Amino acid sequence: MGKESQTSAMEIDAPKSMNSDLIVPKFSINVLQLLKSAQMQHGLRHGDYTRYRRYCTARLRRLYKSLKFTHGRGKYAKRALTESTVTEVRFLHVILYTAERAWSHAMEKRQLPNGPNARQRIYLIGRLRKAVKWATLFSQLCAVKADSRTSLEAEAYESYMKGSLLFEQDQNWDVALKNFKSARAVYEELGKYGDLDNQVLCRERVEELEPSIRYCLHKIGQSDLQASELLQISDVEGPALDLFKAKLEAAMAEARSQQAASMTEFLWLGHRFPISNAKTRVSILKAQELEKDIHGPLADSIPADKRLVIFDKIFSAYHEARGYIRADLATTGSTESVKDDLNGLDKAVSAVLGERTIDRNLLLVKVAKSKLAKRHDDKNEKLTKPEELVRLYDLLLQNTGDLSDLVSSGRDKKPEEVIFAEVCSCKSLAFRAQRCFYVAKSYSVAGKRAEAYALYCRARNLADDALKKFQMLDGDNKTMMKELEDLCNECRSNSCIEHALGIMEEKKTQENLSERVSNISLTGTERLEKFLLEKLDVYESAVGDSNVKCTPRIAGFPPAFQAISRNPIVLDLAYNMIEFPPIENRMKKDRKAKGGFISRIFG
Amino acid sequence: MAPKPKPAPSQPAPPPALEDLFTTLNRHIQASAYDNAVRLTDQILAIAPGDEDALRCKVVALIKNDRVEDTLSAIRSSKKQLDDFHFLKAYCLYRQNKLDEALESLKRQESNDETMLLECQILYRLGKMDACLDIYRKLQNSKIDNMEINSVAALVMSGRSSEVQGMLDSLRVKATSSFELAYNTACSLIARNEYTDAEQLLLSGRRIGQEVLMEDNLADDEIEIELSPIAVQLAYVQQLLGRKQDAIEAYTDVIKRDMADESSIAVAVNNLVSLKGPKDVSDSLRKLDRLKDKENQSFRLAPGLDLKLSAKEKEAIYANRVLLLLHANKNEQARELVSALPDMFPESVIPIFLQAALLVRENKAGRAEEILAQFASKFPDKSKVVHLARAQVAAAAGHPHIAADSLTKISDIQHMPATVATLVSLKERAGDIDGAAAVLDNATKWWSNAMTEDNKLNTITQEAALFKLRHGKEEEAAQLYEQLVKSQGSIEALVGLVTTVARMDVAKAELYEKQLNALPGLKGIDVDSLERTSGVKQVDAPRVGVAETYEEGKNKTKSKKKRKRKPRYPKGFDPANPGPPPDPERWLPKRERSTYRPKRKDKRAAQVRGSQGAVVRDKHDTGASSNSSNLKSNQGTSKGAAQNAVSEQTKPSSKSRKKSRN
Repeated sequence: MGKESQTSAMEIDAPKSMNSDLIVPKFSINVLQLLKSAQMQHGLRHGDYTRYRRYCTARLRRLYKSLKFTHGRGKYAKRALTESTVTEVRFLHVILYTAERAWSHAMEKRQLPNGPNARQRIYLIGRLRKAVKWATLFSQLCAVKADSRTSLEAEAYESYMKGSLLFEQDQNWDVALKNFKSARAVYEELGKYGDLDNQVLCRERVEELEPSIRYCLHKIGQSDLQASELLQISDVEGPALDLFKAKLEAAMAEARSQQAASMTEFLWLGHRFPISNAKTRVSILKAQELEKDIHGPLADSIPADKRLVIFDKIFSAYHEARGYIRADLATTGSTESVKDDLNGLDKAVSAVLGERTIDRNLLLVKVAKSKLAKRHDDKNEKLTKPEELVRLYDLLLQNTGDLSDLVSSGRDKKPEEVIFAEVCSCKSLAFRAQRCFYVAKSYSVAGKRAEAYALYCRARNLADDALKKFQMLDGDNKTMMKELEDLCNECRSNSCIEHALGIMEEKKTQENLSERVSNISLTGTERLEKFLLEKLDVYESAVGDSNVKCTPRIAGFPPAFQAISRNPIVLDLAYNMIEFPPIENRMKKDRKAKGGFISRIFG
Repeated sequence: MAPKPKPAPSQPAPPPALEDLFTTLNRHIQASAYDNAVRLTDQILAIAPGDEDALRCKVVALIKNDRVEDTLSAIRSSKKQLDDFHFLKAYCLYRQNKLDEALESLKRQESNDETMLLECQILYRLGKMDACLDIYRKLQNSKIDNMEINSVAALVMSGRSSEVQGMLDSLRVKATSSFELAYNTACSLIARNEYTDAEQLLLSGRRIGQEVLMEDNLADDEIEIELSPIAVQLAYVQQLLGRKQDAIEAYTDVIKRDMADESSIAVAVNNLVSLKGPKDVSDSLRKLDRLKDKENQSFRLAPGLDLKLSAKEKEAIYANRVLLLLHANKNEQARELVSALPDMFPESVIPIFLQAALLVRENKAGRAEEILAQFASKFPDKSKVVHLARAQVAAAAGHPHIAADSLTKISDIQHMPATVATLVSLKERAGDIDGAAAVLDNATKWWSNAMTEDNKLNTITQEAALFKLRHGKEEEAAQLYEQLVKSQGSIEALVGLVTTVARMDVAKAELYEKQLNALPGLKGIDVDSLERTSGVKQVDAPRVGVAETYEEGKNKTKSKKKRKRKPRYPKGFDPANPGPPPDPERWLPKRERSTYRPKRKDKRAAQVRGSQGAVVRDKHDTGASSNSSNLKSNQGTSKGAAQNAVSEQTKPSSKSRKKSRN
């Protein structure tokens, strides 16, 4: 696909050459965009300078061939690029990619394992010098053949290459500074024009150049940057800064070596342990510098995840130091005094490592506690369970136990070590109380009142014991004592609540049982919900709770269908009282017997 | 001497003719041939216009023949005004339902048993039951047959069903002496809600009636017609007892056979409609059309039914008709009928309810609320049910303010728990939290001052405390709970007080907590084992490690106690010089250790390419991975040596660890 796109690109470029012969226009190359896309697509996204160099080589070969600018057949015949030779924009591409190839080759040498050796370093500088040469030629030709924007970008490119060369050579820092500043000025101006993508690229470029400028200033002596600030500078990312990072690391290592030369002892628990190995000194010094970030005045402004990263670096440094110490122990022969010193130093470094582990886990506990408290306010967040805090306190207990065992081991027990072990014991008790509190909270959330109540009481007892121990100790334990007092109050409060809730739940259980029995007696009869007038004695809203939507049950409305009773039967007794008058006297002798009248029902 | 010879010659000629006519008349009377009797009396009166006997016979024959109009015209056209004709005229007017004229006519006659009986019947129909019963009491000594039937009917209709048994006892009559009496007594039992006894009595009455009527040689059809009131009333009792299916079958049978009097059919149709309710609306409407006056365009009861049914019964039929029309969405007919009801029943609340129901059906709840409010202000004695209906309409329509206002106007249930709960919910729904609190406060004050034994103060106070808790007023809730604990001392109040105060004052909460009973199941709890758990859930796979850690700790403690001999150390181990201690993070999960580097692993995986050039790529990956160390070549060599030394050191440590654990 690359070849196809290249072929189509060439075909598109063909009409341009005809036009250029006629009109002779100014060429236009977006240098920054071209280089950025080429670098991103061919390896530099992952820092693969070898791949990028090969890409430049292949691209150059394609350009030479398409431009028919090859250097002879068989015997090499050098053909120089001059103003008259440049008849297409792609001739300028040839120069640019030649410079890029040289630069990437230099960067490849820079990234060799264990750094470049002497011969490789000479080769590296040679490649950079060649890159500067081609960049200079590119700039000159663009000044003649290209438009003003392209010319400016070419000048910036040249300045950057010159600065890089001087940077690597450790010479002429002021000239390097001038070059970097010049490049920055060009990119700042270009960042104000053009389309949005171009502006973004220019601004990124400016940001990439900034650390180099500051480093040059540092070298000149116009700035008093600290090692930590150098470390912050190295946080900036970008392929153009890989050379800078290597240089920065070397500078920091050099600074540490100079500082380590004056350091001969490691101070811990009031004892001094001599450090005979220079590499051990450098590692310990690195760790101590990082600790200042954690415990310094700026610690509050650093977010938690950044602090965790710094802790990781501290652990790495201490592990490195301990590795060196143990290597020395292995190489040391039979000298007892040297062995004792190294063992003491190893113990001290391990103890400090344990302390930092505890600090890190305390930070995690702090984060988890804030999440647990936040859980009630915002339900959208991921839920934090008390079990997570229990696990964190398990880690703390284990760390404290390991630290105590470490300090207690060994032949001679010094008074400071005994005191330190006691402090560890107090901390262990405090962590145990905290752990018990969160186990109780876990049972409380699950509704197990008796277990939660018992555990809250236990946590309170443990907290009281820890508080007494801390009071007996002399030292700066006010923060821990404050935490323990708060824990005591929380335990008392929660134990009361658990007790009350347990009593209430037991009572409700009994009421539910009796209610269910009464419901059984109504077998087969559906209980219609009652209206307001039928249940006046019970505190129950006829319209449901204020936040629940249900049908109101105040009164039956519309009125229900009515059934009626048949009226009683009323007989027409007056009808029976009406009789014919006697007329026997008006008849002949013949007479008949009268019959009774049938009663008539009249409703 | 001269007048005597004249009557003597005329006397022998007419006597034989009149005597023959009277003989024939008597024969017709005996045979109950009243038409022929009337014709003969006409012949007699043609011969002898002033004959009183013939005139009286004619009037009685017309009455017996149910020709009431002819009777009245005969009485008016007669020249002689006999004394007992007032009674007969009153009876005819009674039959024509002209009750006031009947009473007036009856007063001209001197009082005797006949006139008193007729007066009773007229008063019964006028609805003046007390006067009717007074006259019946006077007639008790007259030994008139079947008078007890009408007396029981009057007692039932006057709402004094409880006196029926006493009256029967004083008359020494059993309820099962005739089926009419059994039926009426059952009606009194129904009025007293004794449905089971009423059912038994109705069944007995039906059996007695069948026997008696069969002895009288009536046809089966006529027997059924006579007993139809019992059938309908039996179905009614079954309906009230909850046996709806039996009742429906009985009603349907009565309507289908069409062998009952008009009143019974009307009652059956109405009750069947009420049983089916919203189902079968069209069929119910068609059945109700049977009761309709055919001449009238709109729904009106037939004139015969209109006379026989009581006002209550008529109102029920009209109301059911309107409800059916509403269910059938025939709002026009419903509106027409609803507009006529207030004139028919001016004192009743049913028409206003039906009008409001119609407006609600037309989505005019506001208008329905207005007319209900107007009716309540016009008839204060009936305002309770109207206010309840208005509250129901407003609550259903989403007007909690109006519903609460309507409930507030019912003063006798103002502070009952259910009313207070409903008002609080309505005001909360309307967003009036202060109003809801005021309702609870007023109820609390009212019950504080109430002197009744059945006091609801504690219930109201409990709910008031819960309300204040819900709205963030813990202090007030705590005060209310304290009042409850002091006055009542119930467990609920104590529990509420403890849970509320525990957030503010722990010492106080603990003080009250001592009054609570011990938690159930607390004695059987092992706190130590509980403390070792990680929470409520069963231990998962990752937590097994933690549990094992604790078990190992426990085992270590035990093993230390059990140790009696010198511990065995591994070979080459010097207890005086133990060497470096193990890694403190060795028991953590690998990803939780401080040396874990997930980024490196991801980075390595991302760079894996195809098979070609694998060797070169691997070399480059190695370079990339070690790039972070940034060490020079000689430093790299020494680091490799250091790493080897560290790895060599690890093995003896692990060996010693294993043995010490064993």
